[in-house]
Amino acid sequence: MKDTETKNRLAEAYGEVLDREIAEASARGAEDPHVFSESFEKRMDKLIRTGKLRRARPRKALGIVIAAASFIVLLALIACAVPVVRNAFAGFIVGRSPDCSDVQVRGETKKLIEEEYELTLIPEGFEERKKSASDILIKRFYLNAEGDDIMLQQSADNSVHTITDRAELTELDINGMKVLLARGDRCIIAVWLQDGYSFFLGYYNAPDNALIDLEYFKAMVGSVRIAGE
Amino acid sequence: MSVSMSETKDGKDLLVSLYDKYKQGLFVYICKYLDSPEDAEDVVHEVFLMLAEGGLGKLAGRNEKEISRFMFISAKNIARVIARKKRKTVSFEEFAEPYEPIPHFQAAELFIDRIIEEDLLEKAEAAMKTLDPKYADILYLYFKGLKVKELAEEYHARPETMRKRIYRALNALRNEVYKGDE
Repeated sequence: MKDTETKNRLAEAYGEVLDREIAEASARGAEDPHVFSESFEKRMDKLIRTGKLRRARPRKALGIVIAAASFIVLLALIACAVPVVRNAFAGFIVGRSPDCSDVQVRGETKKLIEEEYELTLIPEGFEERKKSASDILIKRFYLNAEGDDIMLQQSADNSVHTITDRAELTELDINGMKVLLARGDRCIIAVWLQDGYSFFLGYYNAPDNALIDLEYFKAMVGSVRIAGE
Repeated sequence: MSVSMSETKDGKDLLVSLYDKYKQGLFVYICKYLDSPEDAEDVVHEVFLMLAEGGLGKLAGRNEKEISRFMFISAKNIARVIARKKRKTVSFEEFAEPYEPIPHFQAAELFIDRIIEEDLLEKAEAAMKTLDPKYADILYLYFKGLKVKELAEEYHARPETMRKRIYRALNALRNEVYKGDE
């Protein structure tokens, strides 16, 4: 079955729930109809019959809410972009706030992807399922049957990675490369610079599954090399 | 010069038909989220304003059932915004993204592939029916083909924020499907 068919089936499953709610509300509305205010009827008459568009309440009323929401969300984003604490990691620029970290490798990266890299040590049960590629970014996805996921990202533009997890960050050496490791409740992440590319490796385990062994994960980092070599 | 669907005769007829059929039900539905009938009336007006301003065009080709679903989901979203505005104190967490570890990659989207490969469709359909409506609404629109940018406009959010909400919703569905599996 195709992807779109599956999505449609899932949408329709919830659609049935919506239809019931709509039918119940419509039935109650028909049983005991609301007497709409005169101002409402006038506005709707203008809108529906004449096509003249006029807002019920000044746009700014909702706009204020939206602006307030955006501002507060912006504050949350700024909290990470303007770090509260800058940690001193030799190989990385890290901005930390209580809830997240922005991580970027120190050093020059290439401008374009010239060689593709792959993970050569893959845990048992995983296989590469999907790959997306552009001139500056390649992402490879590996999955197993238990719902665990691995992503390897190779970027040529020194991406800033945001780790939205209160994870402990550790800088360590793997095969002569400086690697920043972050360990959360259900994920382990590594960021490093290798051969002019910024790499991100993430292991995410499904609920109730055990997290991958840390030493094995470090070995996975060390196993990333040019595809086919 | 482009003409919005509500300016065409067909568009106007459709708008009138939807209004006559659904205004009472919409009002009742919205009253679940708002205390004030005046606010509920404003939401009803906003919904049809949205349809008249281009919403009908976006829904072209969809049947009436799907249009009514879109309308009621939109009404819910507008009502939630107004309900939040009405509260005297609003905590930071109301508007800020709730803290939780978000998978840093597109694992959630690949779940659709797994549903097909692992023959989980029935389980997933059942899960959709019991999912928290805040996730189910988003997934309904997403699965029906709305792009991230369109969903962001619907939810008055930035596209990046909307992407995170979609991933959370997909993760919630995934957790529901695999719940109880050992």
